[in-house]
Amino acid sequence: MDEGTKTIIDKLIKKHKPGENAVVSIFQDVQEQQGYLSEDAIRYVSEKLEIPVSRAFSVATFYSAFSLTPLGRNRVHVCLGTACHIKGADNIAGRISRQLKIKPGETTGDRKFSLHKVRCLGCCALAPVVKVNDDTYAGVSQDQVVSVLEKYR
Amino acid sequence: MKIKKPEDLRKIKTRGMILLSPDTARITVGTATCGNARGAEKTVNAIKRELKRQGVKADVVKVGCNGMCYAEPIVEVIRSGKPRITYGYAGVDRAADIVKSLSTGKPVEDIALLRHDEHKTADGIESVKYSKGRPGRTYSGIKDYNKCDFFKKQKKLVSRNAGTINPESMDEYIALGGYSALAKALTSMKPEQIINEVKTSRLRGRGGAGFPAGLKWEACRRADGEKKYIVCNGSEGDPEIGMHRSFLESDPHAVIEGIILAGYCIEAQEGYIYLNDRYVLASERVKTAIRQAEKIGLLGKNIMSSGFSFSLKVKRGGGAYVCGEETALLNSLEGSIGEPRTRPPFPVEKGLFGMPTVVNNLETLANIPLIVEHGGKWFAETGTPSGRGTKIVALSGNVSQTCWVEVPLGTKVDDIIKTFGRGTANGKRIKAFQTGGPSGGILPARLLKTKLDYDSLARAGTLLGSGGLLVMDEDTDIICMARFLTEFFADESCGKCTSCREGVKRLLDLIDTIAEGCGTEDHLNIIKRMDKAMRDTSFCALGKTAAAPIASVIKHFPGDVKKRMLKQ
Repeated sequence: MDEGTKTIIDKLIKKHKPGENAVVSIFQDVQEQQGYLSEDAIRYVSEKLEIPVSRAFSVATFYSAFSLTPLGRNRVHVCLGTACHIKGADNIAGRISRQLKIKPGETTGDRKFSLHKVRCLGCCALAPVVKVNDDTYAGVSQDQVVSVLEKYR
Repeated sequence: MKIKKPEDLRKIKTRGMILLSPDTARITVGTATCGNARGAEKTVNAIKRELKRQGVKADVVKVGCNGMCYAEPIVEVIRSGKPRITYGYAGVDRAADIVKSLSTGKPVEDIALLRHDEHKTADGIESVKYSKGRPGRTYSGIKDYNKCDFFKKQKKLVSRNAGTINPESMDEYIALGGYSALAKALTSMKPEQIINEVKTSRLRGRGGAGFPAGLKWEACRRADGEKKYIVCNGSEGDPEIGMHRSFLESDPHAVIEGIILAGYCIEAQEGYIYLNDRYVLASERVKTAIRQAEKIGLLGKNIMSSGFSFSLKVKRGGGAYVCGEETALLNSLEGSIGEPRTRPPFPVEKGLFGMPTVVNNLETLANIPLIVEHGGKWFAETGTPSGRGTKIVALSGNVSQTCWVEVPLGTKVDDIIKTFGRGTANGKRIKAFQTGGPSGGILPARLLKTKLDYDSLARAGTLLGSGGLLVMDEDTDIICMARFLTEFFADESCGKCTSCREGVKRLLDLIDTIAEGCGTEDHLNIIKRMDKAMRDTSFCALGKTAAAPIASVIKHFPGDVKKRMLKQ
């Protein structure tokens, strides 16, 4: 890990009160800044917080918010909450998978897209919902979702 | 200025009232997550542009959600002395018309949903009068708020301010009676007295288990510990329920006031609000609200010279459904993985960092200011014996109008679906419904008359949970639905105890076997036995209820199951 990244992480650690309870919040910030949690970053945080590496890894792998591999430039979230499920979200997810040739949780080879399934984006009135980065697409059909993805190529 | 006595709130109140009903005009846009997803931010910008272009003056204010998610984006116009008009489906293309209505005085009739002559808070004490005199013929074509079933049949106690006030303005919250309960409590009530009121109110937890809030507080107050904590559970990980998020995005101060009151009663010095990791906007608005409360001394040292000091922090989780379980939540707050703990000891004795802790759902806490203000007896007048007060319900699935509403506990499920959801989308028959998120059973349409309260739902074989109500029409593949919910549990099981970790996987295999047409009577019997075993031996409620969806389908939809069984 380069010195620049270390400084960034040091800054993030300082933001939170020292003590074990900060690890989730620090990882959240690191993830937001770096796009993922690298093995080096996890080790560095555990060293700084003086907690066992095994615990740092267990936290990093337990929560769905953390990714241990770099994510794509565009993050596609397909909602698989109950309300979206009823309105056919599985088919939408399948179509995106086929289009991008990746499964949920994976990133395309060119790092342009990563696909994530989420359990409810909180706008059930708009089901089925797909979110690309910060843009929400409501009531999408299988065909629409293909043209949505094209916009981000 | 720091607030020292109840009268100090009065000045802020006047300021807030002017904001709510200004001499010029106020245009509000619902910008909770549901509104934003429909482009509310774009509507805000378009309205600002139009105001400039047409040379009209008005305050443009972002408010929360009034519950009419189906009609987003929602825009409201308030002009001095005129009724408040609610517009629905107000996309960018309607901004010019809406702004024009300010100068012409003629409302945009085709998107006008409601007119409001006066906004009254739940208790009827605070009100904002919009219309002076009779509104006149210009408005006769628009439905009166008080005659509109969508609002008339609700009882908006907790969510009284949602969609009306700016969630980032403490002045507006105070204008409608906010923080007066806290001022009353700190200057004239002892903690024991408040706990008694909460006990009299018979308020039960709004998160799932339905434990009486007053008893929980009393136990924690009596527990020994050098420090005590109050934790607000805003984890809300159910895959169909976003109303607590909407609520926080609409009225964060209501929750904060409840937390401070709880802290005062149990003598906690610190509090945490634990939010779902995806609740970014809610978390920002809560943080803003905390800073505002700190600034006027309602959080911090020696609040209102009462000797009571209290600080509050927001923490976002890492995205795990199990963290809605209170002990898993505490582990997550301590920076560990969110696995549940053995109970006893219960959190009220040994909770966060080993100290006595009260964990309350955020809706439970938002009820507290009302109880303190009006007394437990007043509160208990609403609802049924098994559940006093109201419940916020998120209605979704195959309904015409997806929305969230607040109704007295004891309201019949089909009344909620008919009145607020306007039935199914294209007149199809309702086949099933589910309450309480994935842990609730899937119930058949013949049980639609069930009352929405703790005991009635439990008798019907489901639970109130945190208040989701999902409607499935006749086209729903009920086995597929059960599979979907079981898969959710398989994804979210934390893996601590064997019966849940292994149980959910085996359940999924069994459902697949049935879905593929290879199921036999034996498979059904194994599922029934597993349901019992998982209830008996799982560590927490996630595992205990993981078999509920498929077990309830086998019980209530034998026809659907039989059709899929192996033809012998």
